[in-house]
Amino acid sequence: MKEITDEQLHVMLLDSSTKEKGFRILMDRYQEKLYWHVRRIILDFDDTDDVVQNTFIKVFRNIHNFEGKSKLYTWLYRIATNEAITFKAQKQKKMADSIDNNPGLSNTLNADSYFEGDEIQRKLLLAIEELPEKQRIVFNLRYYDEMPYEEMSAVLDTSVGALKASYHHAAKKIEAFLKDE
Amino acid sequence: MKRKDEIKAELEEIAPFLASLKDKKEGFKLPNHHLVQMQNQIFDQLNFQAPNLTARKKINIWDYAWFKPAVAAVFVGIVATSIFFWNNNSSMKTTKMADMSNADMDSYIADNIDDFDVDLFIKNNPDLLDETFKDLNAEDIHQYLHESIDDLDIDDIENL
Repeated sequence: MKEITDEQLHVMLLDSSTKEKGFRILMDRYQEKLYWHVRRIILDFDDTDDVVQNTFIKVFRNIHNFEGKSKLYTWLYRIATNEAITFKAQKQKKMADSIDNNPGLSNTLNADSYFEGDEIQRKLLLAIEELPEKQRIVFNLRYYDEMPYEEMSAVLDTSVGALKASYHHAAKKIEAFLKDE
Repeated sequence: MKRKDEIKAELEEIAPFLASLKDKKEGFKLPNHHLVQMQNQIFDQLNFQAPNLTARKKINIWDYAWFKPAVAAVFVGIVATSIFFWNNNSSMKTTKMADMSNADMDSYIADNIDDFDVDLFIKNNPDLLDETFKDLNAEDIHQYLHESIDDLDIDDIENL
């Protein structure tokens, strides 16, 4: 059976008689990718679930706002990224009010039963976490999701040139961090 | 593959040690079926009407009122066809359906269910299939038939 294109999926999502079916296809197609994208920003297992759920619910309720000027999946990534950034900012604000409640990433990973990485994976996560937020997201999208700069530009609303520079700086910083440790 | 190569080459140029770690994931894991369970929660929040998904889409085909008689009709077809060949086989000419014990008939149907042409059945009975059943391929239907044969009441065949 011929796979439904994202353009066809968009049409299904706009029609109330096919919206539910289209949404199920959308979830099957993009849930895992978006999950890991959010997880790399949020890091926490439970918080990631909340953000991903909120993302898809937002997508379902606001699909009529998607004009189709970009690809459907870059729009999904954009929503997921914004949800993750907002969530993290709100959480950090709460944590900033109480230093005792801010364990740091290293301790967080130690306590995380869903982290089973080796030492180099731990160092890599710490290195990435040291980056400024936008640079971190650029790095994750390029390094892990292997997203082309042109698509990343639609997700982050940033020029291709700026994204390339951001990624190159991020990669060099991480390299230096890993070699220093 | 071309994009992958480009990204790898780009990274090797700016950060060769990091490039050597490229194939490593972050080290996070997920419990089995976690994403499916998440889907179900989302569908519940959005009040989706369709039944909840589990790890694999499961459809209890015996819930469809038309299915059991349809299966019985199919088995009658198999048995009738077999009897036709039996009747033309000199060594088994005297064998008739009425002479077969229930146990023999059960055994015969079980032995021949694999030869049943599901595709032909679906093609010739489109009105018996609803939207959900249409999503099942011949292999799925075959599997259900095979698994359900023990539940089929031989009286259903005789009463048709």
